[in-house]
Parts: sequence; structure tokens; C-alpha cells
Amino acid sequence: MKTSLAMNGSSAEGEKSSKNITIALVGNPNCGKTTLFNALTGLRQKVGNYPGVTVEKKEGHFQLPGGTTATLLDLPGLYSLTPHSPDEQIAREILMGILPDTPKPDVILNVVDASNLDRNLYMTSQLLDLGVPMVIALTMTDSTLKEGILVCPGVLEKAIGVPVRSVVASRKQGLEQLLSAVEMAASSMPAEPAWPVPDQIVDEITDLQHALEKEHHLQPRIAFSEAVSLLMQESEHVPMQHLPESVKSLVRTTQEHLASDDIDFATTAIDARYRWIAHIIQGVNQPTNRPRKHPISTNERVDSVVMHPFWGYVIFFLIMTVMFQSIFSWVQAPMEWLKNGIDFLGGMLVRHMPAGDLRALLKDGVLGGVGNTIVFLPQILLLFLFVSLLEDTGYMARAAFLMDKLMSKVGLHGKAFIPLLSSFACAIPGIMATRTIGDRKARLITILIAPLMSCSARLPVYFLMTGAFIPNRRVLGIGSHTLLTLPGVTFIGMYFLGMIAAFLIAWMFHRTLLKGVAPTFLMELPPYRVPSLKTAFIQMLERAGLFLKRAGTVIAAVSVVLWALSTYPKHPDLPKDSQLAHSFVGSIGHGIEPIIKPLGFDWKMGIGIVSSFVAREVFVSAMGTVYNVDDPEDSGQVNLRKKLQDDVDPNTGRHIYSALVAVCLMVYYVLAMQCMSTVAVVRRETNGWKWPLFQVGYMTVLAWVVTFFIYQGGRMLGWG
Amino acid sequence: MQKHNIEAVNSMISTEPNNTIISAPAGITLADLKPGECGTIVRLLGNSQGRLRLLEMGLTPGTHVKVVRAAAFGGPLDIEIRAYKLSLRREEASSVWLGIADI
Repeated sequence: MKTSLAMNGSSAEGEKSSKNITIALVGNPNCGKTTLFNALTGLRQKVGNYPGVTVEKKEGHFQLPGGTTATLLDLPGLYSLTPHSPDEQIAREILMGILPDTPKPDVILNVVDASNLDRNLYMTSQLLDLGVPMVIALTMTDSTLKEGILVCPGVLEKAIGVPVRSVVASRKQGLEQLLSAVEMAASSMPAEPAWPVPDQIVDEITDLQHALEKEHHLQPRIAFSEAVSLLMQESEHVPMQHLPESVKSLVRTTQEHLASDDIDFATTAIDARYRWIAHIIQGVNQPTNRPRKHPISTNERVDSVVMHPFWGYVIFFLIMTVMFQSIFSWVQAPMEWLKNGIDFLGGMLVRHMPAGDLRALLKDGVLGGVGNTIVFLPQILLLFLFVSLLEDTGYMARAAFLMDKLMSKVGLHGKAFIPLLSSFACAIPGIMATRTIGDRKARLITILIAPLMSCSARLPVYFLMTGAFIPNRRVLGIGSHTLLTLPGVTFIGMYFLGMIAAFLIAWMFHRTLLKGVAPTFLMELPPYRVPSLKTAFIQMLERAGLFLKRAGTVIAAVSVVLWALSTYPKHPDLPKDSQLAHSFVGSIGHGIEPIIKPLGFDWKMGIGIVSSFVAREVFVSAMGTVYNVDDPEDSGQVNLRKKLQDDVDPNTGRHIYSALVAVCLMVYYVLAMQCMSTVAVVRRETNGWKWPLFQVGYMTVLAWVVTFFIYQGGRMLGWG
Repeated sequence: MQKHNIEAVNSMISTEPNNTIISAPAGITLADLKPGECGTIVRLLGNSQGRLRLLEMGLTPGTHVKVVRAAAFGGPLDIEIRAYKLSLRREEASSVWLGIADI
């Protein structure tokens, strides 16, 4: 820590001379930060691994008007720099220049929502303490104008002492001026701390500041900010492990001394900041002569329906149903196109390449595996589109409000709703989004149950099974319009099964393993906004890129290995249709068959389950490879759906798959972990192997037990 | 007892047709307010972490706060403070003590 601190002091100057500056983009959630980030960087952005809800650190590169190149760091949306959760801790360390591998920012670009100056300026006052040059991007001035208030950037600039530029990022207005201001600011002196430090606490802050400068080698301004932050929090919560012993004891004695003088440091300091804000706002908001529409009114009308104690829930379930049914039905056409394209490629291979192992590898291994996975791209994109629209319109917060009581019953934080909903797209961004939950136990429970939400990687399995084995019957409709089909209902059923399991497991952990009080729930209900199509589009593109990358690497590799294992050793003496059973993979499948037989699965499904431990969608590609290799006619690409329907047990002469087996397979995939990337992320987020291993264990047992009861119960009822 | 207080005050204050803001008497918490009622924050009690968050979100002494709605089954409250909307659980709201609104 100390070395990185010492280095950062000089590295800032070094970077300036090479004309490359680092800009940190900071702002409250829902202030238009993401839109501004996208407007500034376009598609030239580098996202960590997965698109989350701006939780992950994003980076973009571009050139400033004067020729300086800039790196823009998008920090998580925050209300304050006080380290309540890992999000704030990371942002604070980046801004102080003590996060390893991240250069200290040369300029802070603070995004301030003009329609909510009061609260937005609170963090601005904390940012000003840090002594880093700063520029304010004032957003939402168009919506305040509609409400009849003109927020004047010039007046704000004079009052705060840093450049303020008004921007409308969605229409690219004011970006040029903003960037010029940033470039100027990079080489100018930082503004002074803005809030007047009250007399009763000024000595305590100064003493601790000097101690931090001397003992912890912090620059004076950083030390000031750190001193205020340390004294604000109760000693048992302050992350002080990095501090030298002398500073720790000073913090403790100062807090005792404040307590004995009956001074409430936090209230005094926060109140002083808000007083400063009140003083500024007085001069800034200028009523225009347009008729003033009350800002809350339109929102309020929508909220009175959407958050209604009865209709709110009806609407919530309606939105969920429409979302999942449309994911099922809208994508049939594009899926067919992709499928035709892959069949065409397979046909080309057969026509233009001599028969042999190489052709078999390309056709059965690569195309059979990767091709069968790529056809699911459309619904994965659609799911991400829905999640990002729910987030951007502001509906997600309302849904969290409605669901909070249920969440609190099982020990979850109301905010856990958002990570859980994102987990419908993918558990990885979901698990990363749990960083917004401050309470450790509540966060851990959320992480443990997040993979039970049906993620997009399960879609291929659900699709294959419902498409092949669930009769396409109408369940609900008006006249000739079919609203709900049996496959659709099965589909929705799988989602609900995952949710119900998640809640029950959360409740169990809350009562046993991770006992504790239900944590707090403090969440802004942002005004409704028209979502930015560009933001949604960029997120979809990111997701498509990641999916294709995975299909091209992990899935391709697994497919090739699986192809080899299912082709060799060759037995030329055996008839073609029993070759697979005697291959390596055949032995593995047969090996685990006793364990999965009670669930209704045969050895070929065993191959799928074992190989899809890497990722769930591999099940489909594995089945594609296995059945292609097993195809005696060797005629282009097999129709996997038809193959599964026709597959017959040679011993009994009965069909291997039935509707019951298909349902059991889906249920198994709803509940089992089967995802290496999630295991890796959980390990990273919980700092160890204990929780991810526990998670794999409990989910596998749960999946086995539930599937066992469904299969055996179903057979007793004569469905098998 | 506290609810009784509010009702007594409600009947004393004549409400304007368009603006049904009702001031709450001293000695009650944010959790005691019904939708549509408002008050001024006097002090915050409760555990230090939750308290600090509330303060930072702008629930400082002297601030005016209004309950807009309450979720069903004793769920969270939707409040209006510093011209924005915030939701919080009743347990948290009961640590926010209010006085008579001094508008």
C-alpha cells in the first residue's frame, strides 16, 4: 500500500507530460452517467468481463479537442464516498490513487443531475475534499426546464469553484465544451474544499489529518478527506486494517472524546455539507416564466398504478409473463435462419471435403457443437434487452419496492432483487451486482441463490426439451389469437421453479447457516425516463460478443474434445450404431449411469451432464456432437430434435425420451450449478473456495433430490 | 396512542383542496405517518451504519419529509425528501423522529 502511495505522487506528472490523462467518471445512480459514458466513448469501450448494471469497472478511450488522449474510467454509481459497501470502497481507493494497477485520476468528471441538485451535490462536496481537479457535467437540464426551472451552469460554476458544463448526452449536446473544460482542468489547480468545517469538529479533523500525513504518507488533501471519513463511522465498522497502530488509536481516542463532549460528528459534518448545498441552490434555480408543472405529478400518476398494493402485483406478473413468453415466441424465425445457415455449412463440408476424420471433426465436432449453441443467440439478446429496459426506465426499483416484504421474510436485502433479476440474464453480472449490498450476510445469501435464477445459458436446454417433447397445445387464447401455449407454460414454470427454490433456500440459510437480523433497505425511486436505445444496443452488442467468444473458445474446445472422446477408440469390427457406446465417452456415460438412472437419464444424457459442467449450454452442443457421431447415415447435419424424439433403447425398444424425462432434465438444469464461470466469480467475490464449493455441493444435491422425486412420482402416476 | 395523536391533529387542521399537507405532532417517528402526511426530522436514532446512510441520503435534522405511499403487507414506505423519492423499510423509518413541520 505504502509503496503504491509514494509512486502515485510522481506518476501523475509523468502522465501529463506524455499527453495522456486519466479521467474518473463519478456520479449518483440514475444521474445519466452511463448515457454520458456511451456518448463519449461510443463503441470504443473496454468492459471488464461482463455487462453488469454499471457495477464492473468500465474503461473508454478517446481524444480531447486539444490532442490529449484520455482514458475514461467509469466508476460505479454512488451516493457518497463513505465506504458502506465494496462499491464505495473501490471508488474511494481509485480516486485517492491507492488502488493497485489503476492510475490516479488527473481529473474527476462529476455527473450532476440538475433535477436533483440537493442530493447530487452531497457527493460533489466529498469529491472536492480530495484535491483533484474537477469538472461538473450537468445533466437533465432539459427535464428541469419542462418543470419550469432553469438551472444555470454559470451560477453553479461560480458558487462551487469548478467548471460546470451543461450536457444532453443522448443528443450529443455540449460534449465538445465539456471535453475542453476537462482538458483545461487537467493542468490547473484543484479547487479548495467547499463546505465550511464547523468549529466544534475542526480541531479533531486537523489532528487526524496531520497524523495521516505523517504516519500514513497521505497527501494533505487526501488525508483531510480520509480523516473526515474515518471519524464519521463508528469505530467497529471502519476499515482500518491498513492504518498504522498510532493512527488507529488516535481515531479511537478522538471518537471517545467526541462522545464525552456529546458531539455527534456524523450529523454535524453531514449537516454542514447540506447547509453548503442549500446556500448554493438558493442562487442557482431560477424559475422560468413557463407554467410550472409539479415535478412529481406525472411520475406520481404512473406510480399510483404501478406501485398499487393490488394492481402493482398484477402488472408485475404481467410484465414477467409477457417477457418470458415473448422470448419464447418472437425468436423462432431468426433461430430458423441461423439453423439453416449452419445446415448449409455442414452440407458444404460434406460436398467439398473428402470423407475422413478431419471432415468428421469439423462437421460433427465443431459445427455440431458450436452451431447448435449459436442458434440461441437471438433469445439471449432479447433477454438482455428486456433486463436493460426494465433497469433504464426506472421500473426495476418499483418492482424491488413491491417485492421487498417477501425478500425481507427470507433475509434478503430489498436491493437483492436487482442482482437476482439480472441473474435471469446471467448469474455473473448478477453476482457482481451484489456489491451494492452492504450487509455481508445478506450479500452472501444473495450470491448463494443467484445461480438458481434461470439464466440465458439454460435457454438452449429448455428450448431443445420443450420444442421436442412438450406438445404445442394452446392453453389460453381469445378467439383465434393464442396467448399462451403449453411449451410457453412449461417455460414459465421452469423460471418459477428456480425462483421458488431460491426463496426457500434463502429462507433456510437465513434461519440456519447465516443467522442475523434482516438488513436495511434504502433505495431511490428514480423518476421514470425514456430508456436510451443506444445504451440498450451497446449492452446487447457486448453480450453478443461475449456469447460468441465463449462459443468460439470454451464450447468449441469442449466440442472437439468430446468429438475425439466419442470417436475413439475405433472399433472397425463393431456395427456403426454401437461404436459410440464403446468409445471413451461411452464408458464415461455408462460409468455414471447408475447415479443418474433413478432420475430417468440414460448414459448419453450423462455425457451431456458431465461435459456441461463447464457451462450449461454445452449440454446441447454435446448432444449435437454425440448424435452426429452416432449418425449411421453420415448425411450432413442431423436434426437434433428429431434424433432425440426417435432415440430408442435397444434393450427395451422403448423411447428414451418422454415428456417426463424432458421435464426432469430441465428441472435438473434449473437447480444444478453446471457453470465454471460462476464458480470462478463466486470464488473471487467471497475471497476463497469455501463458499463456491459449498454452493456447487448444495445445488447438485438439491437438483438430484428434486429430480428424483419428480421422476419417480411421475412414473407412479403413470406419466413415464 | 401515537396514531390517536395524528388523527386529533388531522381534524384540527383544515386541509386545502389541492394541497393536503398535514403537519405531524412532536414525539412520533416517520413510520407513524400515513400516506399523505409529513413532518420535519428532529433526530435519528438506531444503529450507526443505517443511521449514517440515512443522514447521507439527506435525512438530516430540520429536513421536511412526506410519506407518499406504503407497500402492502407492512412493506416499505415511499417517501419524498429533498425533492426526490426514496423507499425505506418501516424498521428504518421508526428510527427517524419527527417534530411539527415549521413551514
